[in-house]
Amino acid sequence: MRKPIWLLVATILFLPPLAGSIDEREFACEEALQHVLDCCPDAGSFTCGATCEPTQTDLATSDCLRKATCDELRESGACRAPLQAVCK
Amino acid sequence: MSRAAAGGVQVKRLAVVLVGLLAGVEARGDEDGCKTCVDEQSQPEIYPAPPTLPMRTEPIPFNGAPQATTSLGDKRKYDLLLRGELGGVYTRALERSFGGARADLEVGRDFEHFSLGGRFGLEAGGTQSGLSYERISWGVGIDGKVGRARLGLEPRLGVLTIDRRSSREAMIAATAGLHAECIIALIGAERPTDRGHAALDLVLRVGYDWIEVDHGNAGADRSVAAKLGIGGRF
Repeated sequence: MRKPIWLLVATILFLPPLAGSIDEREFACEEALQHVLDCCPDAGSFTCGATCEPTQTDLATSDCLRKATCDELRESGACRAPLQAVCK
Repeated sequence: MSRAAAGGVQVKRLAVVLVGLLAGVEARGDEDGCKTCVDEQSQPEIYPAPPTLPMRTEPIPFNGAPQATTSLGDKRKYDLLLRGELGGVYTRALERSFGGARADLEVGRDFEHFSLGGRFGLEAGGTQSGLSYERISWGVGIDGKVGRARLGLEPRLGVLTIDRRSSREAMIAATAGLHAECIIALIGAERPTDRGHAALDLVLRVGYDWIEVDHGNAGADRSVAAKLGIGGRF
């Protein structure tokens, strides 16, 4: 009779670690992308996943893109090519 | 009177005397027997007879079903605690600001001087840049009663998901933290002798959480959260 209770407790305790972790670079990249797309709705898509390394920004670039104003992004051409623009 | 008649009379008297003697002996024997019985009956009783209870003549008044809530004369030392809570939350995590709304539910027991309950919470909102996130959390809340306030601690586990902008997949991380809380009853009694009364609470909670973050190597990142809400207790 106690087995289900212990199974429930074990599930509750060990479920979060099974969820994994957030990659700091991916998170920064997604934040930068969100900001770029808010400023430049017509910007070309780029991904932030580990499977798309060529288009993934590094932390410094992501932070730079995220902190730039919309005017800076547009004037620098970041709306067309985020990686090669203002944060180069 | 002839000698024969006199002899018959004597025989009759003798018979009467004998019968009388025999009757006396028998009577004494019965007395002895009764005395023996009395002696046997006077043995000490092992199981004394139960005391007679006073009979109640008037009908017992029916006051409805037994009440779950306690009164002063009740032997139960706790009540069922059911709390709902709605509010907002600000979190500083991953060097970003998160803001959102949250709903919490607590089910537990309300004792005279403290309460203990299991909690389940849902939180949804956005990051500073606009990425949406959700968090499911669960834990245990322990509150001590201080006048109209309840001061407590809440260890929590949870799962945080942040939605990507580049795809439909979400970034998922485990969280674990400890929150301190102050719950003040705005409406409703909050005295030790008035347990179980419904109340409307103002809830202030601050917490510290660890979030599993990969900085290149697996590790944890700290986050600080402040929550403000309105709760209802039943």
